Order: sequence, then C-alpha cells, then structure tokens
Amino acid sequence: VPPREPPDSHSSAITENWESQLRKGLLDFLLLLLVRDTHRYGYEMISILRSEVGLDISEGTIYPILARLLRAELVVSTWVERDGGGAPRKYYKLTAEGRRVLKQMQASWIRLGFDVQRLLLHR
Amino acid sequence: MNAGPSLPDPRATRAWKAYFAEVARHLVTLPRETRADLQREIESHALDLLTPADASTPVDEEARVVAALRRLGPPHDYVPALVSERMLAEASATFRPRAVVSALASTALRGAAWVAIVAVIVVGYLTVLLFAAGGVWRLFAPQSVGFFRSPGGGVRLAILFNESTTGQDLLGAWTSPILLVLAGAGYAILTGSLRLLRRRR
Repeated sequence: VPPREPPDSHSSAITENWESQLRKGLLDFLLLLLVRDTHRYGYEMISILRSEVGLDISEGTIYPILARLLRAELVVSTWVERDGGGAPRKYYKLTAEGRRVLKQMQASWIRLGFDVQRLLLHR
Repeated sequence: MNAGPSLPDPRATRAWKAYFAEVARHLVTLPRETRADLQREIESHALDLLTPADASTPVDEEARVVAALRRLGPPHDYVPALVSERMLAEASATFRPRAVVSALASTALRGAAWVAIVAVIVVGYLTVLLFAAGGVWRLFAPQSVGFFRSPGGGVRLAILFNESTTGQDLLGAWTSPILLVLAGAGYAILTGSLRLLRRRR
C-alpha cells in the first residue's frame, strides 16, 4: 500500500474540480437511470443525486437536460396533482427509445470502467 | 406566473415574485404554452424546496424562501440554457433563418464562453452570406466575382462590389451556381451542426 501523501490544497482543488466535471458529464446517464423503473419529478431526482451521488449543483440546472431528453423522446412527462392539493408536479418516465439508449450507455459505462481498471492495474 | 405560495411575510412574497419575474423575463421569447409549462415546473420545484416550517419555533419566512431559491440557483444560471436548447433544436430542425437568429441570440445570452462560440458561428454565416451575395452579384458584374487566374499564375476568389478585377475567369458562367451551391451547403452544414451545441454545458 503506497504511503498516504499529506493533503495539498492545490492538488485537492484540481481533483475536486475533475470529480465535479466527471459527475456533471454523467448527468444525462444518471437522470435516465433514475427514471428507468419509476416515474420521478425534478426535485426528487436532484435530491437522490445529492444524497446518492454527492452531486452538488444548482438544482435548476437539471431542467435544460430534462428538456433535451424530452425533445430527443428519451423520456416523456406528465403533470400529476399532489396528494393533499398544492401545485402539481411534472413526472418523467423512460420511453422505449430511452430504454434502448440507456442500455447502450450502461454498456459503454461498464466498458469504460473495465478499461480504466485495466490501466490502473497493469500500466 | 401564478401567485406562488401563501406566505405571511411580505418580504418573502417579494423575494419569490422577484425570482419568478426574472425567470419569466428569460423565458419571454418562447411560445406561451412552453413558457407556462416551464415556469410551472420551476415553481413546483421551488415549492418542494420550501421545507415544512416547524410550528413550535418562530420562522423567518424570507430566509426560508431565499434559501430555497438559492438552492434552485440564479435564473440566469439555467433558464437561458433551457431557452437556448429549445431554440437550437428548432433552428437545426427547420433551417429557418429567423429560427437560426433566435437560436444564436439566446445561446449568446448564456455567458461569455458562449458569446465566443456564437461569434465563430456568426463568422461562418457571414461567409455563407458573402458567397450567396457573390453568386447573385456575378450575374450583374461578371468581372467582379469569380475564380480568376492572375498574370503571375495564382488563382484567387474575388467577390468585389465596387470594382472589377483582371485575369482569366476560370469558371465562367458556372461561377454563380457554384457560389450559390457552396452558400447553400455551408448554411445547411452550419445550421445542422447547431444541434451539437445542445449537448454542450
């Protein structure tokens, strides 16, 4: 096991920025994954991304992505009234085309993970 | 825009209304139905962010609203991207010049980096326009537009509007249709590639 290096604020900042960009780059994939098996609304999706993936972004930024996924017909949306009244929520769910794209993304993700792992172990 | 949640503190109501007035301002170029749909969705999200107040402790309504809206992010951070996404999709699907202008304008509003990208694309469209104008102008001024071989042997494309050039005209009557086809192809490629901008963040 290599010795742990002392924390360095410069390298930490670079790593944090890289990790943040990496997670943002996965947003399309993550949003499609979230609506794979169930209908979800924007706030619900971002809450899961915050708690499960540690994604820290302005919550409004998922809407341009959802709009693009809608226009590409990878998801569909529907307005649903809230239990107990209040403003309705817009729920998203995956379409058949979205499911096909998601399967391809999953395969790419697994391939990429495998390739990176191979480099890490055998470089 | 609806009236928003019922908030007892007028400062909280003001903060809410100011935020959604800014959202509405960014959405103004979209069709009414799309605008209403997006505004409604963002408002619904903001309502979810307003955590339920604990009845046993005094509540600073304004702080609660401001915190919720801060988590949503400043409208200029994400609403122009929503508008630009839609405009770019329309332009790249319809190829209408008016849609292209709207798409480029809304994309430039997304920030400084986008202005630079739009500037490069505008240069491309200006080149297309120059070729189209040259193709038409050639019909009226054959010695001002064309591919000419100079006495030194070099070949150059001339598109001149207030003077004529010398040299051997290489393409003759084909110049005009060739320039127009190049302009059309350039327009189609540039406009079709606008869809690539939709994936950029």
